Formats: sequence, structure tokens, C-alpha cells
Amino acid sequence: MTVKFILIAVIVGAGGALGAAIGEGMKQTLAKTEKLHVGLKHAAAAMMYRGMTLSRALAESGELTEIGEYIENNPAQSPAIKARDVLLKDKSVSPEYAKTAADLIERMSYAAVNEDIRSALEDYERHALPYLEEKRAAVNKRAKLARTLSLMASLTVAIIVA
Amino acid sequence: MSSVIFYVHIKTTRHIYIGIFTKEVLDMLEKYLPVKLVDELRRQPACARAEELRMRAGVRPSLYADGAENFFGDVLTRRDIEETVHALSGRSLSAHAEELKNGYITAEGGIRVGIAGRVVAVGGRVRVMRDFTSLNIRFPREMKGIAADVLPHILVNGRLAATLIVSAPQHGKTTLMRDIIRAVSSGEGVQSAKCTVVDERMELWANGAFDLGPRTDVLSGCPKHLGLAMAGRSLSPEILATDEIGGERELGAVMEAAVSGIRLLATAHGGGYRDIVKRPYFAELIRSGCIERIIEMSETLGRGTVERVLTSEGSAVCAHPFLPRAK
Repeated sequence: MTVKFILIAVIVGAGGALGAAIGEGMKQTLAKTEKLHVGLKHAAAAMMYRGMTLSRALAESGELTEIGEYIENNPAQSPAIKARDVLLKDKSVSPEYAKTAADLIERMSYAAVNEDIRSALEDYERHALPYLEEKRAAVNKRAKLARTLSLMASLTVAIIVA
Repeated sequence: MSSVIFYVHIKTTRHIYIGIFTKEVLDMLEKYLPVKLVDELRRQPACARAEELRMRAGVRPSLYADGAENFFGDVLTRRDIEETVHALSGRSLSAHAEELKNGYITAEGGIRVGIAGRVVAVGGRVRVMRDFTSLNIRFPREMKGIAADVLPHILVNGRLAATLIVSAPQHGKTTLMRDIIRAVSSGEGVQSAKCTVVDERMELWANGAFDLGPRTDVLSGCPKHLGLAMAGRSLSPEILATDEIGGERELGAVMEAAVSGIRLLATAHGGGYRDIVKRPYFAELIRSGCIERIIEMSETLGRGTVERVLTSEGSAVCAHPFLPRAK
């Protein structure tokens, strides 16, 4: 009886852990996009309030260092094209978000005054925030489903074993 | 005959020196300019002696060297000009907003680029410049040692007198002032002194591209009227140096510094002593003793000629034109 009880507990526990791991994995994919989102907002703020150049602001944002360094070394090249390339290469970032982020970088590079940056940031947020919200909800839903299914599967196995 | 040979020698030496520096500047500029222009530019025989590169939308670029203008290459488009300005700003026009309001941008290595385009003014003040159409890239130069020929004329009791360098644009005022600062700061041919440079256009020091000596503090990118006051309060300079004075806003700060015993070293646009004494701003500075020596510069013996050195009363300390030599 005790052995059976331990076996059921182990199976249910493993199932729960597997479900949680699958859910975490899904959230990690979203976390990368969210970090980029925060990095871009920090970069915009650094440009507006600290007078930083785009390259320095991106380099210091943490997530966009490669793009910042590229702009610094290749000022005659388009930052947007490079940003699109870098972001699209990252499989954890959706093409839709990569395009929105690259558009913001391009507009920040052409901004002549802070109002231009602010306006670019507002337009970016108009697209990015609903997208992120939608993604967040979808990921949470899928993670919850994965956990539930995994738990149910393990319970079924446990009952059969018992 | 010997004087002719001597003159040619001076000119040649100077040109070789400038040529070497211009090549470095070109290497620096390469990543900002359109590729087709860089290739064409390097093929120009006058490239090594270039003083200015002019880029205008709808016109071929031109190079000023040896007092002549040479058009070369293909016609530039508006997009070429726009892209060059964006590249020069490091793809961050907003970070250069204040400079652009004043019609220039300072690129890497202290290269000052004059810019023309559509100016948006609100309430009588320039708010922003957009739709760029022309660029004037001025090749900066460092000519170490040229101050040595000038210093004997601007000393009072072995110390540098409060000096104003006056000339029309492009006659080498900034280059001469830069070397005077270096010499005074290093104590070369003059009693050494602590110098503070208010480098509003980041052209004098250019983020360390030029040697200004070991006793020099630089307030880089700081508006002159603020920098002059800041320097006096916190850096205790003996010499306060700044480029192109003449704005009403800095007059008070200059006078305040002079009252505190700080000597001014500055440049100003003007035809010469007779011109500047007619301008109330400079008349006031001379009257209050803020300026003790005036160096008039010209191009009579070549760019950078010291035409005359005068006292504040207008009497000549040195009345013969000469061309200071780089050592």
C-alpha cells in the first residue's frame, strides 16, 4: 500500500513538474521580447533625457548591444536594416515585433528633437503593447493548459498503476 | 632670391604637415561620406592640402585648397547630403540638436561641419533644422610650434597678456589659438599658466584629438556664457580661452572673469583692430582692460599670416606680417 502510494505521488509530482517546465519554457520565449521592449524604452529615455546618441543608448540597453555597436562603427549604414537582421535572426522574437522594433530604431535615428523620439515611442507602443499583451495572455493560457494536461496525464497513469 | 626660396620652403613644409593631417582626417571621414565621393576625393591632387570640402545638393562637390576651388566627381543628391548629416551625427540628430540650431555639427576628431537646410524658427528662435541641402566640412589642423613666433609679441612681464585674435573666417585663428594654449599650458617660451578652455563647438580640443598641454582643463560642448562663469567659479584658471566671442550673453561673464584677475585668450571674426573697436561689444572689453593685445591675421603670406600685433590702444607691437612656422 505504502509503495503504491509513493509511486502515485512520484508520478503525479513528475507530471506536475513537467507541466510547469513546459509552461516556463513558453514564458521564456516571451521574456526575450519583453526584455527587448524594456531595452528600447530605456534607450529612448536615455536619448531624450541624457542626450545620448542612439548607438550608445542601444549599447547600454543590455539587449541591443550588437545593434548599438554596429551603428557606432558603420554610421553611414541604415540602423533599421541591421536591427531587422539581428532581431529576425533571433528565433525567440516574432517577425512582427522585429519589424515594429526596427521601425522605432529607424525613427529614433532620424529624430531631430526629443518630441520626434517621444512621438516615435508612442507609435511603437501603440503597436507593441497590444501585441505584448496578447502574447502574454496566449502564453499564460498555453502554459496553464500544458500544466493541467500534464497533471491530468500523470494522474491517469497513477490511477492505472494503482 | 633667398627670401623667395625661404618662403617656398615655409609653404612646402607647412603643406606637407597639413597633408599628413588631412589624410588622417580623410580616413576618419571615410565612414561618414558617400562611398562614391570618398573614392573621387582621394583621386584629387589637391586632396592632401584640402582646407574645406563643400557638398551641395544638385551640384558637384568642391574642394578648397591653396586658395582655389576645384569641382570634382558626380552631382550630389539631396539624399547624399541628408545621409551624410545623419552619419556625422552618429545616427542621432537629437543628440546634436543644440549644435544644429547653431548651424553646425562637430564630428569625430573635432571636424566642424557647417550645415544649411530648412530652419524651423518659433518665436524668433531657431527650433530645429531639417531638410539639409549643403555641408561645409572644414579640415582642422594642428600646427605645433606656430605659437613660438607669436608669443614674444603677446607677453607682458613674461606672462601671456589678455589676447584677442581677429581675422576674417578661414585665416587660421583657431589653429593659432590652439597652439598658444598648448605653449602656455606647457610653459614653452612663456611662464606656464593654468588654462581653462570653454570649447562650445568641441573644435579646440575635440575630445582629445588635439594637444592642449598639461595644465589645461576643457569644458567641452558648454555654451560660452555658462562655461566662462563655471570656469571662473570652480577651476581657478589663470587663462580663460574660448573661440569666437562676440555674443552679448558672454560679455558679462568675460568682464567678471577679468575683474577676478583671469586673462582672456579668444578669437573673433573681424577685419582687424579698426573694425572691432567700432563694435560696442569689443569696445567695452578693450575699455575695461579685458584685452591687452590684438593679433590681426590675414592671408597675405599664406593662410595663417600674422599681419600685426597691437596693444589695446592700437599701437603696434609688431607691424611686419609674418607666417608662423610649425616646429
